[in-house]
Amino acid sequence: MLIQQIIQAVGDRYPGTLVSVDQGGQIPTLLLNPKWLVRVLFVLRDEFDFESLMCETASDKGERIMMIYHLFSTKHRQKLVVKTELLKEDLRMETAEEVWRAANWYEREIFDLFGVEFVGHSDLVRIMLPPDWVGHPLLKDYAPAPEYQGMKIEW
Amino acid sequence: MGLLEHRLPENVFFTKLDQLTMRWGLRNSLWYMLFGTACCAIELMQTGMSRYDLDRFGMLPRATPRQSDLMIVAGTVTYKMAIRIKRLYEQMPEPKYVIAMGSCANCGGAFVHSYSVLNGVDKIIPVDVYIPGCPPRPEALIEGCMKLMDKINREPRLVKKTVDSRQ
Repeated sequence: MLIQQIIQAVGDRYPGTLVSVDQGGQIPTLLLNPKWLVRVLFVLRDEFDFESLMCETASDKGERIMMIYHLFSTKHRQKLVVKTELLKEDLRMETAEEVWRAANWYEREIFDLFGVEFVGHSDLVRIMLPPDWVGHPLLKDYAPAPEYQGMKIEW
Repeated sequence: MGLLEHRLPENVFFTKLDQLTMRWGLRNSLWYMLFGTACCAIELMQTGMSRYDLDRFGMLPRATPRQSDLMIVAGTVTYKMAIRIKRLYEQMPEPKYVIAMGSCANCGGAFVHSYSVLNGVDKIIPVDVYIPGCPPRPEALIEGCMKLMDKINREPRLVKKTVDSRQ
């Protein structure tokens, strides 16, 4: 089975990277260490035909930010979720842009709304909010500045 | 004027220059700027299309602020867009009018508690007519345009309305 092969391959090549596997939900989910994550994504793309990055997003879990990658393989008709957790003190993550070019805008969005800095990203600027905006709105402890360019922010 | 009137044929009439250009002329040629900020723009497009046909009131979309008399703010105004809307408004020649279309442009609407949405376009530019609705139907937009034409008809004289950009 494909998922078993993936677990085997990741365990062999990058020991200690795979934290847990959850196959109870609709889509099999791998929780990985952030250190070798992009290498694993390369393996998934090249050897297991996950040629499509459907979605890359993040979630605020309190002390940590969870990064979530949704992959899809047209050949195997298989979806896969890869997750990893970053500490809020050091919000840096290797970019997945070289694996899938689609990651470019996803990572700009995550940088915009969560403040995760993607090392090696080709154009890491805000994508939706204006460039002089202060703060990252999808963090749970976010509070907007009192005004933006003379306009009072009421919320 | 009385003497002159009797010497000319009956289909000649006399009026004041500002009434002719300002009221009659402007009222019947309100060219609106072709732009929309959110979903109300879909209704705005429908209003301009053949079913509702704003063209029969002399209203044409213009793709530049420099040829527009009317700005229809159709949709949610975010802070990012607010700066651009203000600049577009400043680029329009006088006399100029603004219609706030829909709840979002009136007061923030459904997004009033959002961190990124301006609570009403009247915070940055003066608004002449507010049209309620989410979104307003084309009939409501036409009613708003009629109200604006009435307002132009009643306007005593040209009033400069440009907001001070330094504020």
